[in-house]
Amino acid sequence: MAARVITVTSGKGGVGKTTATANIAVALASLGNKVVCIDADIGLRNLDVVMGLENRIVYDLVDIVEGRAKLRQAMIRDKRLKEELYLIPAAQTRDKTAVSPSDMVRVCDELRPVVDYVVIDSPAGIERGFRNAIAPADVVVIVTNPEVSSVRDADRIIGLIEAEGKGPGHLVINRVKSEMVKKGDMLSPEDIIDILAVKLIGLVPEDETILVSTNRGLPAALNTDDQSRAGVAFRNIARRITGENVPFMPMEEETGWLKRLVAKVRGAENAADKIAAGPKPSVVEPPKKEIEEERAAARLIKPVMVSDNADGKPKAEEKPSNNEPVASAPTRSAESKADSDDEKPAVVKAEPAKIEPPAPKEDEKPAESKEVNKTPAASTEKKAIL
Amino acid sequence: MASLIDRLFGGREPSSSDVAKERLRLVLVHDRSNLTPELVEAMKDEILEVIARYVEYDREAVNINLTSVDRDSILTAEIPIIPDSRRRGVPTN
Ligand SMILES: Nc1ncnc2c1ncn2[C@@H]1O[C@H](COP(=O)(O)OP(=O)(O)OP(=O)(O)O)[C@@H](O)[C@H]1O
Ligand SMILES: [Mg+2]
Repeated sequence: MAARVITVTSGKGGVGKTTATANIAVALASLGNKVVCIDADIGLRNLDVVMGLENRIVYDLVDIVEGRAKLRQAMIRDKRLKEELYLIPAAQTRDKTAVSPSDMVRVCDELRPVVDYVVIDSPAGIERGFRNAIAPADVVVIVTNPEVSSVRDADRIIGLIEAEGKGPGHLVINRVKSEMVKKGDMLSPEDIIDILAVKLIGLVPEDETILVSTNRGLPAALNTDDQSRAGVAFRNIARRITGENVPFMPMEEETGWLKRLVAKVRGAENAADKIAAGPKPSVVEPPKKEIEEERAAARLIKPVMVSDNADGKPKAEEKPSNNEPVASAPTRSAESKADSDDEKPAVVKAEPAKIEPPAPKEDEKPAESKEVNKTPAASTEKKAIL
Repeated sequence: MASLIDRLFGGREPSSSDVAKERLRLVLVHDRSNLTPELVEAMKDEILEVIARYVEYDREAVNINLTSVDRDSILTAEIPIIPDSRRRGVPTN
């Protein structure tokens, strides 16, 4: 076995990282995988209570790192599942500096040969705790809510993980309220994907069953009776992570904006392909109930209001190559030589100059994203997918 | 700010999510390029200063924009040049 390490992070606090970690871990285990989750939020331990395992803690992550406990001793088994699901809790009385990114890599390397998935719950912020959480990650899942500050923070995280060579990130939009989206009072999933230019891997509705299940310490995804819409959404995320092709809706109905949604779903499937370890399982038709859930989510996606070029964005074909110098000399277009009795003033169009963000080191950028930026054809294609 | 949003939505009252989306777009353009709005203004002024050394341009119609396409920051400039023929008729000082 060679485990995949999935880190759940967000930038902004309180958007649902811990909820997502617990539910994705439970769902991955229910699918027959051996799963370990790690609470990397040291000093603010929470994953234990959300999973309902708080009474069984003896050792924690810091005990492992500091050699007071063997890895096995700190792994708490969730006995409610017949499959193997374990939690490595955070230390509550220490702070983030008690663990380093290389400690996290070491712990995960020890787990890799013996489990299928390691799911890490990251603390909020972009400091040490976040660095610890993403250090061992093969896949980074970014959780956001449909509101401006959490989307802004998600954008920062996406930039940071790309700079670390951990990109591209996979987005979960949590706490979507369909009624508010319909009224135009909540950013739609489509708006958010459009702005962040990132792959969508899950849409989770606002759902009271999350609070109820957290009260009881029974993650919503544990119930397979589909009473919780959020639980179903989290199970679908887990299935996409395993590489399963989970369509949001039957393809026949694609017209107009529905088509765009389907294009997005394909983006999510591509994301799932990437995440999938080993051979890809064959496509399984989702149970009827789950299709209904995804239809509900799909209804949340409305047509884009602003056309692509409304804000003067250059077309993809005009995109310069990566090594184009910033603010390169304007080239005279054919129009500038137009006959003089033309009333219109001649136009000098500057080639769009690409502004490189200052921080990331060039050679650390993931090869794939670089390639996408390079060729106009590829960037047009990327647009189509998103 | 309000006028920009009015322009984008063609007079129609924008919903709060329309406003949120446009505000996010603007803030992310600056976040991603690490350029504050003031710095962008200063850069525009300097670019136009250089252009003015070579040609006469239509100040009213200048359009210099920092935008994001996918996740890349793109600076575009549209600077209409006043044709020679028209310029000749106008007395210069
Ligand atoms: N889909 C949802 N529907 C309803 N409530 C939700 C949903 N997702 C999360 N919540 C609630 O939001 C609150 C914050 O969730 P959670 O603790 O998972 O966030 P977090 O990102 O881990 O926070 P922190 O940054 O503090 O670690 C909790 O009360 C949780 O029950
Ligand atoms: Mg948390």
